[in-house]
Amino acid sequence: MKLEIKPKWEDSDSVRDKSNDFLKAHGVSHDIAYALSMTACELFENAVKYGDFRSPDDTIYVTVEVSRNDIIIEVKSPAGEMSENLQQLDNTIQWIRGYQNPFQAYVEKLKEVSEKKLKEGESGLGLVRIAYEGQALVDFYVDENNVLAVSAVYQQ
Amino acid sequence: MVNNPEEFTSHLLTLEKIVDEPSITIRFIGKSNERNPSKFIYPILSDALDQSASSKRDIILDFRELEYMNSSTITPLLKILDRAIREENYRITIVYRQSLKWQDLSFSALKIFEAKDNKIRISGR
Repeated sequence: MKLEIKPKWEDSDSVRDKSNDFLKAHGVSHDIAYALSMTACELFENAVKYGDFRSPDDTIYVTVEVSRNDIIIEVKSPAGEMSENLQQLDNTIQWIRGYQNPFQAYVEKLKEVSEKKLKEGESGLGLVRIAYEGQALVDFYVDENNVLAVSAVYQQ
Repeated sequence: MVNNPEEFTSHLLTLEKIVDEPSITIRFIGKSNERNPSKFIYPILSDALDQSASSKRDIILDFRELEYMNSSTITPLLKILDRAIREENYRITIVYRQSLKWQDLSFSALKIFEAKDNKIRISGR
């Protein structure tokens, strides 16, 4: 499944619904389809928040691929001059990988967020929730066109 | 005595507040996927917490009718739990639908906030 979507927050529901329908149509169980469509939605929301959208033509690409061994969700958005965000993304992914069990990372993040001040629109929970509830490995790269691709891979 | 429920709606999410004799119940109904859900959710929960302290009622946060929440929705819940832990006179029960895998994963993780004095209880039903 490939979606090409404008960076509008209100489309996150549609990303989730379409991902869910696609996964179920490919024989993925209800619970896993739900968790992975949440994953697509969280990655899309991150792209809307942090993408460097300068032109009205800038879009977000959401891809969901189901194969025998795994399910890959990839979300691409313009990276722009977001080195600080990329560093933060890298730090978060490395931090999650530092835990043997994503549940431990998740509860640590819950404790951290509970003690922090409310910051508008940011929980910092999205990626660790993907690792815990989506049981997916998160990774990213920036290509030669300065497009950020964040992926979540679920092993079947 | 049960008062008429009060309803608060923002986009696809409705919070229904029911005040009865032993408790104040906030039911989460629908989907929570706004960019900053704290703006809508936190003031309602915070007011309910104040009301619970002054009227000596427990708070029940009932998520069984919630169909979806994004990760930003978890933040105001954590802030309310943190407040209940730090301050006196608050007792909160979080109720979720254990048969829904995503609710079980999301809400059972909140058991880390359960206290020995039962100020916070996480209950899958």
